[in-house]
Amino acid sequence: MSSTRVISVDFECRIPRKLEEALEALNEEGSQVLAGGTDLLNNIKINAVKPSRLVYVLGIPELEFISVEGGRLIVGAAALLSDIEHNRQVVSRFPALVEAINVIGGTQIRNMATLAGNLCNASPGADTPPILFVLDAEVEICWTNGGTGAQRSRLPVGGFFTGPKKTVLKQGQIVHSVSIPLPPEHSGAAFRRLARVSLDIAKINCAAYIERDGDTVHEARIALGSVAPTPVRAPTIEKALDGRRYGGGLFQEAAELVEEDIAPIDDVRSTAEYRRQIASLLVREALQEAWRRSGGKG
Amino acid sequence: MSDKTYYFLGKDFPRKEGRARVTGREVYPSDVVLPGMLYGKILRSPRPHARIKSIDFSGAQKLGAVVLAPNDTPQEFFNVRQVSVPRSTYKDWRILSDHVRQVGDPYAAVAAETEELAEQAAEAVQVEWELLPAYFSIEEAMAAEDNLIHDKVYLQDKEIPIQNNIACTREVTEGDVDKGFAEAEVIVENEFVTPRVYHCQVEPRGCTCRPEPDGGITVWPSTQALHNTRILLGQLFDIPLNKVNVIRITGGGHFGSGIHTNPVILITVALALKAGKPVKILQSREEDLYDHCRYPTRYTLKIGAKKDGTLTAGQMKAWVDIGSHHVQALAFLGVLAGWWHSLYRLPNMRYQGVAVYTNKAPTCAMQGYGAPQVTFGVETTMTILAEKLNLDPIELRANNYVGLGEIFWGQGPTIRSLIHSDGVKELLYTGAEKIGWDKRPDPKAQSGRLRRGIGVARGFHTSGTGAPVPGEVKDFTTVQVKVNEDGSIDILTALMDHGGGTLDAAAKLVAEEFGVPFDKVGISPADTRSTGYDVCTHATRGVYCGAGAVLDVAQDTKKILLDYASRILNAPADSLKTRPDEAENEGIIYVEGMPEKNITIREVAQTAMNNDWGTAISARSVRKVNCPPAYTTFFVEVEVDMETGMVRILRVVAGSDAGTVINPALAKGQLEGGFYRGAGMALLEDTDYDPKTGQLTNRGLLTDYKMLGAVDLPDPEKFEIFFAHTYEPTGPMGAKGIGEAALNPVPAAVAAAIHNATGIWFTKLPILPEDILRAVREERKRDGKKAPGKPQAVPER
Amino acid sequence: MKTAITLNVNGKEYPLEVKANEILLNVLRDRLGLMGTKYGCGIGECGDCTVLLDGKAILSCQSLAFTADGKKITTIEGLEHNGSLHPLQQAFIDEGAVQCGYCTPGMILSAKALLDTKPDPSDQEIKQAIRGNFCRCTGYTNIIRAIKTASEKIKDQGRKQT
Repeated sequence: MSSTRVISVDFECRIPRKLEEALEALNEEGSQVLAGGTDLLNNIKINAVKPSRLVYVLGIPELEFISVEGGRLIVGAAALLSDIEHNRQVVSRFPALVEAINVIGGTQIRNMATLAGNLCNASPGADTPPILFVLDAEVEICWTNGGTGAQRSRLPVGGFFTGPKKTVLKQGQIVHSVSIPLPPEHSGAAFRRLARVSLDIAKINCAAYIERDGDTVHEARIALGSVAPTPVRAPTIEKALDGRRYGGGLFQEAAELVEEDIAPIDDVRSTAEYRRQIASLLVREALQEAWRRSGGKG
Repeated sequence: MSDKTYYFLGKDFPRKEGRARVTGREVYPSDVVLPGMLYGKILRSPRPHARIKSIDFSGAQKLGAVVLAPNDTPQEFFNVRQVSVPRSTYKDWRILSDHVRQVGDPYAAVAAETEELAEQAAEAVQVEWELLPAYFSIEEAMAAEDNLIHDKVYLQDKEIPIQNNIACTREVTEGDVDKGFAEAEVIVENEFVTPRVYHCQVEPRGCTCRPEPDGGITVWPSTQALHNTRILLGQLFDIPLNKVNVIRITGGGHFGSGIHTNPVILITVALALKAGKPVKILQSREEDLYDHCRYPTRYTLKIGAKKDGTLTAGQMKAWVDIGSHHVQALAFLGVLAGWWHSLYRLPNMRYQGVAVYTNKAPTCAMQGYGAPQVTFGVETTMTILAEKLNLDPIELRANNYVGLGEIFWGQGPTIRSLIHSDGVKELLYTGAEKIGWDKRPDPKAQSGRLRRGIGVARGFHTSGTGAPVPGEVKDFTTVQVKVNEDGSIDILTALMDHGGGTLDAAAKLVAEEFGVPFDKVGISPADTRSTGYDVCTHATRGVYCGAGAVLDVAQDTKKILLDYASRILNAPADSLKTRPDEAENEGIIYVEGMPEKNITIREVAQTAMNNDWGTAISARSVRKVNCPPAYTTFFVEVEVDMETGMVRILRVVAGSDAGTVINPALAKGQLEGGFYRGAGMALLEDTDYDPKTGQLTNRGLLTDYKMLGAVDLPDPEKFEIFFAHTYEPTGPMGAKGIGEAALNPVPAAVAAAIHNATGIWFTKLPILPEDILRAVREERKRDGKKAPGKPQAVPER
Repeated sequence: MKTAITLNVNGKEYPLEVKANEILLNVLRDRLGLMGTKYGCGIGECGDCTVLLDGKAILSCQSLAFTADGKKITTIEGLEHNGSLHPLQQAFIDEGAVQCGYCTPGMILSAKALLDTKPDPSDQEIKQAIRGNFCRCTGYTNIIRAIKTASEKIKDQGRKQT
């Protein structure tokens, strides 16, 4: 039986001061990134992973930032969840992101964990991916081939997850930052979730984003968590809303299409049946709130 | 609460342990450190049912670890729980066995210089298993004819054959049940299911043991049972008891999980004796989750009544899935009958209980010991009956409860005593007024997404297990009280305080009796060599039996003190009174009617010493010959979201009949804490197993053993707590218990509130949002488009 | 392989050599003898191991010791000054917020981190601040009351000083 009291596996640590040093150190098989550690240490304790080297990335200045440039909010991989949720730019422009972060763990966890870490852990029920999906966030990945400096590439957050606990990251690659386009006028986003208790992983979560054109939905984006092996978008609903005029039970009607886009299972937190039953409710509520935040009436 | 006025009782003082606990200086079992100590690690079965074919310790030994195999430990059968008398004690435990009966069952142990090394040594042990069929439900287990979980067990010293994995059975019959049901005009029958709740005491269990040069041992365990642990250790390791010293140490919560001597204690001692060095073992949380849990129950309950609400007969058949070992399931089957019998007057009753082994964690006492389980079914049935009879549920209860002048079964059918105090009606009527019972919603009239409901349930717990005629359960406490040479007082007893304030209560009673400032009364550190036997702090006996014993002995000591004072004051001892002088910080002895003729206790003690009269000191064992019910009533208001099935608790009114309330703030804390754990049992707590692997579905991680948190509970001002104005004539200064009574009716009250909101009865706990939503949807389907209204689980007869 | 680090705990510097896999909780307890910080679950669910790192509440069971190099750590042992209790400690005793007491150190530290940034919190803010701290005894009501009482007291002290 594993023990959460001690770590019995031996590994070495690296505390790089520069990103490139970190990337070099990560190229070796068995090396893993240590950021907040709130997921990684659990996985080590329960013998789910056995790293031979941990590369500590908090404190690397190139990763430790939250900024707005080029019309995007950019959150470095070493930015803590609590820093993000209290950042003035984030609070004023991305209230739904703040809500999604605020439900994660207790204060202590948010003082340790990072947004990048929440993505890299790739839990199907993680709370930030749905909102990042609908905000069209991109993940910037970086690595080094040795001596060539840091290589970077960007991909939409939707392409980042490949399965439960699995991402596109290869040995030596880390998330550099997550960037989100600043929302246009007449847009709004919302986050909803249900869990057993307030300190919990979601049974199901959901985010919605709406760009409004007068009283019609110019564009809608919906994503859900804990209803499939990875967080998923809900294209059927999105299509059903495109260009539609608000009212007449539009959101309810569209939300009921959610069945098409999800494939929930039974697990220790809830049942597939329940998840199916409440998915449309959460989508409807998220759409309604996103609409309200976009300045829409009703 | 009584109307008498006291110097200390009923007033709040900072608790004596407070300062140590807020500064991090309290020493818990986790914190014991000894020079040269090794750290132990228990090897636990990865399989639910298996035998060891071969075991290879060489990898661990290469790392320098001390290893302990089953045959290194005594192979005698015993029971870890020693509260019952020997003739009622089943024995199926061994310290380590090569036959493992659940995932997490200990089969070996290692010790090394650091915890990390011990962990590595444990990982290096190689075992080859012979797999056996495993059983995860009562049905599967009872269908088995061979490959049983236990092939033999002992009752006292007699070998008992086990069939179909049935651990034990118990039947209780009173009156003529068939005749009683024939007289009934209404009968309600339902099946109730209660969950396998985990205690989740904040500190996982652990132990440290030091072998002594004289062949003895000193032990610092997580336990509620100091002396029973000592006796078991002496017996198993063949050490005379005067060389077995078990130290009282504050545990980080127990809730019943330490009434028995937990395996970790026995294994620590065995390892320390083998190593010849001190050994400490601290269980990880995941080990602890495989170590103990509440008894789950499934039972059918049938109750008959006349149209006027008089109950005529009851029948209960209960099945208990006890897991891999017997922690005195016979006693548990007995209390199920006892609690049921003592809730409402049933002239005719028949009870059958069956305890069945399965390949899961062993079940043991947890706050309420069967009472929350039984109270859930009985209280639900009473409300259903009231509705069928068109009676107010409160009136039906007030007319049928077992109260003043009647017989109470305090710990199963063999512990019976007369009820001398009874605040039940006050609790019911005052609570009803406070919650607004008359304005509670009509479930049929509610519509919309959020629906409110108010529910009531009442219950009790025994105060200890004393009775005029001793039964299956031991109950006495030994105490020494002495007056020190400066007039301060020491209480020495093995009585334990699990956080509720038992020892503070004892100190207050002594301060009151002697008339000395509270600060002058000290609780001495205790161990089993310096104290006499105390059965343990369980069964809500702490204040009534334990502190009651302290008061009785304090009175003996006071007699000696007053005799000394009478010599000095030249007045007869029975004319002397005492009072505290807070300004001088002294206890004063004075002649009644002549307050100017007085002397401080300090001066009396000093004079007695200087004149060689001796110390005012006495010690003896005290058995209480009653077990008064400590009644409680809970009114709960909830809001149910009909679209998600989520339940929010809005308001709680809790009434307690504890007799004289000694520590008001701590007593209130008991009720708030009891409510929180009871609501958790009602709404979410349970442990389940994956039959494919035999593992807990939560894998032993708190990530998936959820409890209500601060955010999930109502704000402090939404908790209203009140105490009945009663005085228990057999109790210490009128007091009886609270502890377990604070939880017992809670699940039933929550279920009743959910019914009041939704119109649906839930008879299986926990009531999850998934269950509520499913029931609401079924109801809607049944009623076509109509909103839910009709109760669902009420059978028509 | 060991790494040389310096932990600044309760204002005192401790130069240490730690292995990469050593958990901060275990270093505080086993090597510095600061037993007030507790193990409860090992996976970040219970908050018993809460300490303040540069003033912020964190979980010492989810921190490797080397990552705390050079940081300021406050444990429960660091709250008492010259024999007088921090207002939170006193309020926990006075309000009956301490039962078994095992969760108390972590709970008080989470409350301290709250009051240091928000001297006058609402019930909701208190509940959110202690969401990551689990108490099995009290049902939280007396804990919330104690934190409110302490916040009043701290404000009073502040007024007297200015």
